[in-house]
Formats: sequence, C-alpha cells, structure tokens
Amino acid sequence: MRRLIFRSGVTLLVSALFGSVLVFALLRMLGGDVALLLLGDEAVPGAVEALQSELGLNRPAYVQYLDWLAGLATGDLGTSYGLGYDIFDQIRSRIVPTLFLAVGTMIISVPLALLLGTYAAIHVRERRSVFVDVGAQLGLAVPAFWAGLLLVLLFAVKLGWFPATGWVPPTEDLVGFFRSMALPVTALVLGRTAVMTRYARSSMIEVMGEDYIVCARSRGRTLRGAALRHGLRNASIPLVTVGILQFGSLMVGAVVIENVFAIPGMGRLLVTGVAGREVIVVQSLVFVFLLIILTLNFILDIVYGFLDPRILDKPVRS
Amino acid sequence: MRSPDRQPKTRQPTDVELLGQEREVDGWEPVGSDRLKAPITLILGIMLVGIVVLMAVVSAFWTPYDPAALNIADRFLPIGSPGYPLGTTRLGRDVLTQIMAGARTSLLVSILSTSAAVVIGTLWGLAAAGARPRVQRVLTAAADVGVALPGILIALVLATAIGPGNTAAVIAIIGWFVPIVARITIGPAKQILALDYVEAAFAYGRSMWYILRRHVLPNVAPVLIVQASLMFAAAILIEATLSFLGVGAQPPTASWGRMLNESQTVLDFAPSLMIIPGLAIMGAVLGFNLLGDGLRTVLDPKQSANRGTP
Amino acid sequence: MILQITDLSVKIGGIEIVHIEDLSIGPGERVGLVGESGSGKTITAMSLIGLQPRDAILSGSILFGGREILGLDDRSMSLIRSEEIGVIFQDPSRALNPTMRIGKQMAEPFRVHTNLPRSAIQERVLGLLDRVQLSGGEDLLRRYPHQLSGGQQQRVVIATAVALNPRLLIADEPTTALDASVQQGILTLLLELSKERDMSLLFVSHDLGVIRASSQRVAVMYGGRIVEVGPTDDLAGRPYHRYTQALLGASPRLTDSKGQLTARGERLSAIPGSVPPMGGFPDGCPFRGRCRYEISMCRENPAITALENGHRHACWNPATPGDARAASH
Repeated sequence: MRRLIFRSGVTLLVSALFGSVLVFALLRMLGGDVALLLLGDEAVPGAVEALQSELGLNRPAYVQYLDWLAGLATGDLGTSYGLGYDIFDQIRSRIVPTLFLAVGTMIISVPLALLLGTYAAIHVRERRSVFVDVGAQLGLAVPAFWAGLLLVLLFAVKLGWFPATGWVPPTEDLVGFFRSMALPVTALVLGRTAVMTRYARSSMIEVMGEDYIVCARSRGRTLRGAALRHGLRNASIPLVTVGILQFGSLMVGAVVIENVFAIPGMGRLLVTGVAGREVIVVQSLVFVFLLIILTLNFILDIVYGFLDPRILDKPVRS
Repeated sequence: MRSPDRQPKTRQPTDVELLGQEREVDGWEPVGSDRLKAPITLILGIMLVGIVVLMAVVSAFWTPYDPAALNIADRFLPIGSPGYPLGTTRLGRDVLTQIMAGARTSLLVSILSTSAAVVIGTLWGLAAAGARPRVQRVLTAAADVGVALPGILIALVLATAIGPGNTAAVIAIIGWFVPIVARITIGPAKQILALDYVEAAFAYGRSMWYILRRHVLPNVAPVLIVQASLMFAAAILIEATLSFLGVGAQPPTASWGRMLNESQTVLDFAPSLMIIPGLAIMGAVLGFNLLGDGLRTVLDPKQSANRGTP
Repeated sequence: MILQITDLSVKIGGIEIVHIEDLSIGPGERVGLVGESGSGKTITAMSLIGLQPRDAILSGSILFGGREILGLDDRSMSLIRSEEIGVIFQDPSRALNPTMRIGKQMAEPFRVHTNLPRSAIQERVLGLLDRVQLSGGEDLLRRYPHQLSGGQQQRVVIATAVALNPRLLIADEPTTALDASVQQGILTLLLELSKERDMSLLFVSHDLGVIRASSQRVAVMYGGRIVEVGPTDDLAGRPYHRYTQALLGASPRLTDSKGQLTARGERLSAIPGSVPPMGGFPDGCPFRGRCRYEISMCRENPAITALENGHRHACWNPATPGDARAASH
C-alpha cells in the first residue's frame, strides 16, 4: 500500500508540473499579446507598451512562468485588470462552493446510477428496462443549464420552495445551505446520472455474465441477491473510476450551473475571466482545476487499492 | 506472480462457445432487444435530425421575419399571437424565426467543428498508429492527456485566446474533440496494421501512408462515422453552452444558447422564452444521439449500445 | 431415486439443443456424463438446477426426491440449491468472487439457508476447511481467491458446495482447469465425500479417464442426446454405440485396477470430422457423418436397445465384441 501511495504521489507531482507549463505555454502562444488582449484592438500603441512593462510582460517567458508559480505558492497573483479584484483571493474563496456542488452531485449520482443500472441490467430484455434506457437518453440530451432553469421556474418562481439564486455557506446557516444547493445539484445530477447509468448498466451486464454470479446462485442466492451482493461491488469498480475521472469535468461543468444560480464559484470566475480576456485569471484557474483533477486521480489510485485487492499485489500502473 | 503449482491453463471451452456461437449464451448480452429497438430509435433520430436540418436549410433562404431586426413595440408577445406563432423575445424578435436561424448556427458550428475534428483527429491517430515506437508513444500519450482534460476547459482557454464568437466556438470544439478522435482511431488502426495481409502489403514495398490510406482507413471508417454522429450531438450541446455563457455566437447572430441566457431575467412572466429554445436543443441533441446509436447497431452489431463510449 | 430426468428438452432460439429421454441417479450413486465439448453436457447439468442460459426454454420433467423441480421459479429453486443440490464448477478462479474474502464466500450457504450466528458459521466453515485438507484456518479465510492456487481454490469451492450436506453434487468438469498433479487429489476428495455422506454425484467431463475413476455408471452424450448409458466398467470393456467406441479409442488414459489415473501410452485414434455447431447436428443419429460404420438406417432416429444391468444404447449398427477389442487396443 505504501508503495502505491508513493508511486501515485510522484505521478501527481510530475503531472502537475507538466500541466502548469502546458497551460502557461498554451495561453501565451495562442493568446498572442496579453496586453493587447486586455486593452482590445483599438488600443493606442503607447498604452500597450506601458501596460506591458507594468505587468512585466516584456520579461523572458521562463521568468514570467516562474513568477507565476511563485505567485501561486505565496498567494500573490496580482489583481484583475478589468475588474480590479485580487486574483488569488477570489480563486481561494471560490473553490469551496464549486467543490460542494461537485461533491454533492457525485455523492448522489454514483449510487443512483448504480441502482438504475443494476435494475436495467437485471431486467434486460424485459419491457421494464426500457424506462431506464429512455430516461438515460433524455437525461443526456437535456442541457444542464436548461434543466436548471426549468427547476428554477417550477420550484423557485412558481412554488417558491427553494431560492432561485444565491449561495449560503454551510457555516452560516445549514438549512439555508441545503436549500441553496438543492436546485443546482439536482440540475447537475440529472445529466451526470444519465451518463453514468449507461456505464453502470453495461458494467453490471458484464458482471452478471461472470461465473461467480452463477456460483453465488448455486449457493442459494436469488438472481437479485447475487446481483446485489456479488455483482454490485465488482460492477461499481469501473463506475467509481469513471465517476472520479469525470469529477474534473463535472467541476468545470458546474461553470454553467453557477451562472444560472449565481453561485460564487470558480466556474463563474472562469467565465468572467474568459469574457474579459484576463489571461492571468484564466491560466491560474485552469491550473487549479488541473491540480484538483490530478489530486482526484491520485485518490482514485488509492481507492482502487481498497476496492480491488488484486491491485495491491500487482505493480502500480505508471 | 502465480503460485508454483498453478500454471496458466486454457479453460476448456464451454459446450456452446465451441459451437461457434458468437454471443454469450449466458444470455446477458441483450442482442435481441437491441435489434428490436434499432429501427425505432433510428427512425426517431432521423425524424428529429430531419426537422433540425430542414429548419436550418430553409432559414438560409427564408424566415418569417428578419432574424436581426428589432421590434421593441411587439416584445414579449405570448405563444399563439397573430403573426407570431411562438411569441416574441424581449427585443420583439419572432421566436420561430430565432429558432430557425438558431438551427442554422447550431448545425453550422457543429458540422464544421466535427468534420474538422474528425479529419485532424484521424490523421493524428493514423500517424500515431503507423509511427515508430517512440514517436507512437508520445503521440498516444498526448492524445490521452487531451482526452483526460475536461473538454470545456480546453474550449474556454481557446475562447480566451480567440475572443467570443462563432469562430471561437468552432475552434474550441475542435480542440475538445481532436484528441478523442485520435484516441479512438489509434487502437483499431494498430490492430489492422498487425494483420497478416497488411504485413504482406509491407513486404511488397508499399509505403506506410499508402497502407494507412487503403487498408486502415476503410476499416476504421464505420467506427468513425458512428462517433461523428454522436459528436454532432455533443457539439450542438457545447455550442449552446458556450453561447449561453456569452462566449459563443454574438448578437445579432441567432443562437439557441443565447436565447436561453436572455430568458433568465424574464423567467417569471415569459417562461416560454426559456422552454422553447431548450426544447429545440434537446430535440437536436436527442436526434443526433439516437441517430448515432442506431447507426452503431446497424454498422457494428456486435458492439451493442451497452459498450458505451466515454 | 434421487434424481429422475424424463424427456428433458432444452431449446435455445427455437432449436432443440438437448433432449434426454431418461436418466436417473440413485442415492449415493456416482454417475458420469461424458462427451466432447459441444455435446450439451454442461447445459444439461446446469438446467437441472435452473441455472441454464437465460434464453433457454426447458420442458419435460425433472424429479428430485419425487418432487418436480423443472419450471420452478428462481426463489423456490434457490431454496433447493446448495441445501439439497450442490454444484462445483470448471474454473474455480472464475467461480469465486475476486473481491470477496474466502471466508465470506464459504459462509454464504449458511447465511442464506440457516439462522446460525456468525460464530457457529465460522466453526462450521473451519471444519469444512479441515475436511478438504486446506490448512491455514482463519488466515486462509481472510484471503482473497487470487491468493490461492488453483487446487486450493477448487477445494474451497467443493467445501462450500457440500457445506449443507446436499443429497446430490453436480460436478461440472471439476478437474479440467487444474494441473495434472492436482487432479488426482481433487478426484479422491470428491469420491471420499460422496461415500462418507452418501451423497450422489453427477460427474460431467470430457475426460474418460476421470469418469472411469469416479463414476459407477456413465451416460455418453453426443449432439445433445444420450447415446449410451450403463455401468462404467461394462461400457468401457464392451461399448456398443460407435461414438462410445470412438471415444474409448481416442482416450489417452484410463485407470488402473486401483482406480488411479494412468497414462495409456498407446496409439490414439482421432475421431474424424469435428463437432457440429449447436443445432447443426444431422437428423436421425447425431453421430452421422463422423461415424465409420454408418449405414443407411442411421437416417432414422435410433431406437433404444436395452441390455442387462441398465445398459442401454441407441445405435443401429452397434459394435461387436470383436470391434470393441480392436478399438481399445
């Protein structure tokens, strides 16, 4: 187990480093001149140079890169050019809401998908399973933000049960926190569950064809009993993998939901940063996202070690 | 790693496997029911896609009203108003016109981006499959990284660099899809390159590119076609998302996503402005998804819809 | 009679895969079911306890202890499985759940069928381990299947299958996936268990040597049908059906007088042709097309000829003693 943690940890660090270089290089390469971007096309020539030296943009690339890394570590990334906020502060304060959204969605989606997928797998070829299939298809086609808006229309505007916008930190008011999370999480859960149910179903179907299921039944388990007690655990392994891997894209996907529900999360910051062509903001945020994703992969490797005991006896995947 | 008294021993095939039966006789693979569903989903998919395409094509030549024209006097008219069957937006634009023009935007962006992504991605995948081992490893790893990154992150980064608009949307989606296509192509391409008759072709002196073009490409085509259809669906969704966020199509270009954005502030008294564009998006995405699934069942029956692609 | 199969028909996709007119197993009796891959023996064995493939349709009669069990719903059947009829499988590494500890899997029959407290179950399970000669006690119970050798895994499977003292044990190719060195041990174990518990044994295998070492009676299957059945020694010494004769000629080893497996060291004669795919067997006698002694009569479904000692066969042109001796030398 310790060997696993070590190897995975190293992978994490190396990938993070590589990722930071990539993000930095990508934005600088594609974006062209940062100052030009910020000021816009009609900028007066003199103003561009002035801004460049002000932001330290005429220093060599690697210096800017290291400076940025240092800024990430020390907590000083400067201020937003367009809106004047402190970049590091904003990023730090916005991580929490986004994390809550993502974690909340996953906690509900994965078990839900497993149950639905198992149901569909057990009743495959029967008419009952069509409902799950149709539901999944619809869930996939519904844009998350539209689902969010529909929920707002029904539950906030018409029924008034939940707030339409806003975020209440759990430390402030727990009930208010849950109420403010209810609709956004539901909107995200709909899409996620649809995606994962397909995985769960195919995973479960594969598992149900295994010999140990027949063997479990030969010990007296009913089909359903064998599926739940033996199949579920084995089927959930690939599903948890997918879930954790998708966590990253879920966090970023929360972007849209944060916009709909005016939640002060990273996604919202990213969008305003993109709209304002704020390169520092975008590159820092993207790096933070990457870091979170890599950390998740790391956790995944460890979790795998617990779920599938065979992994521990094998060499760790690179 | 195995304990000493256990050597690998091939399992005696079960009675039925040896009888050449391709499908699992355990019966858990729903070949039967999928076959039944295929015509229905395919038809439904074609119908939905057909409607969208129709709207897009027609709108290129004619729409009930000028999509860009403003008409503040007639704003917020409800559904069923005379002359405006689906009502008007907050700027007085006819909703039906906006939907039709929006279809054109969606299709244009998704077709352009998907086609380009397929071409570039396939080239990448083929190049990787046919490359020397070291190069192959690098190209494959790069594709893996591209697939692992959340697509919308790539999309937003590109949009930052390029600036909002349809172009940004197209390029963003291309950036998102290319690694995925590459990744999908590499596997089968490598398998085909390892086949006997392909090795024979090498012996005859054919160049790698010739073989990739003549032997590998036609065989990976079915997989690509199915994938492309599903990517169309995703592209429509992504374009709508980007437009919703303000990063995609800019006014006065019509876009379903932006219509949804504009509907937010007036949700309480004009809910149809939110529902109708949403239905349009859902219909288009559903249509292409069903089309893709139907195509998959038809083109490659062994790989049922259960072996879902990521 | 513990088990009486009458007119059992297994259909998949409308095609009859298996048809068994008459087969019975008495209390404590060890019956072998032998045939090549594709003969339908595994499907037959699984169908007896309702574990046939999902789209297989059964008809006929399976009487267990006088009670009709064909067509029982899953729930009712599950009460019988393990408690009355046990099963052991061909590949123990696949039959055991890789993510569940050995102890938990062995405890399962008790958890399902009894109300015993955990401690009592633990006791029983340890006793079972002992009986199948697996050392390691509680330590072994905490391990996962992949940490055991093939032979150990199969012993675990056997122990679990006989945990509740079933009256019948169905053994589907229990030694096929194991090394030759380990096979004898498993066989011996099965025989002992059968004798000491008065437990009937249905031994399914393609290996004649194994069948001869384990079964008192044997039914030879081909094309989903029983072509010959009778006491093992009778059949081996004096086969009637041409397929049985061919099998004996192609068998690499049999048993010596002590019932131990031996290598035969004689020239093998292969059976010409190959087993047709499911549903692709010819009309009339299924062995047509591969049989050296085929006559025109073979186009008709062979009638069953009853001999002494419950020896029956279904061949129009059966082997004579002269043929038999020539074939087995």
